[in-house]
Amino acid sequence: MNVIVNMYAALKDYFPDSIELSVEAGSKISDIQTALIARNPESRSLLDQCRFAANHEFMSRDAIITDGNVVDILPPSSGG
Amino acid sequence: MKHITEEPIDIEKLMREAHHPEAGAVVIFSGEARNTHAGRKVARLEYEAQQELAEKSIEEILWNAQSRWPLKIAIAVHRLGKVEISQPAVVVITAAAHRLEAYEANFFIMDEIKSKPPIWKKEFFEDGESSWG
Repeated sequence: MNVIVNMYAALKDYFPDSIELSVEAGSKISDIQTALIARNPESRSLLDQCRFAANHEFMSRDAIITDGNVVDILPPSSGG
Repeated sequence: MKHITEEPIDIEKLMREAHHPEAGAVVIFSGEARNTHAGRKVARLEYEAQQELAEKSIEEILWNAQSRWPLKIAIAVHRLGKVEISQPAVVVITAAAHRLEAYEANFFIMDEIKSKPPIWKKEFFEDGESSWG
């Protein structure tokens, strides 16, 4: 199945703003992280610090992705 | 959206919404773009957010503040996009019967806004370089 993955802030130094990933049914959020690190190993340190959201809800790395999910990867906040 | 805007923040308009007959203390915090960072000259800032999550997160922060302090009014607005030097990037207003709770709640809200909502600052330096905050 395919998921859209949106990148924010410093993650865009490593990946395009938005990418479509093909993942196996039953995959977890952590599997997306692993796939991204395989694409660009230099992103590992930042990805380890990121939060994840699917369809505008924060998700743990253990959460199962479902078909059509839009996953947002959120680096540490720096608002204010 | 109520707490996130791509337009310049109109502080005077927000202040007009911050008066309450039972509030003797109104505290306003304006976080503004500063022209230096770690010894480097900053030309401007740009903010980006995951807007739906940032909106929900700020709403939750205000709700938490209102459950901890007896606030009559709590307002928070964060700017996105280009912010020129001395323009407000974030404004927090708290109104309460007395100043202590208004100050404390304002400090709490601002602290939370710096760390929780998915909002990111990018600094553009006068030497042409830029970096994410």
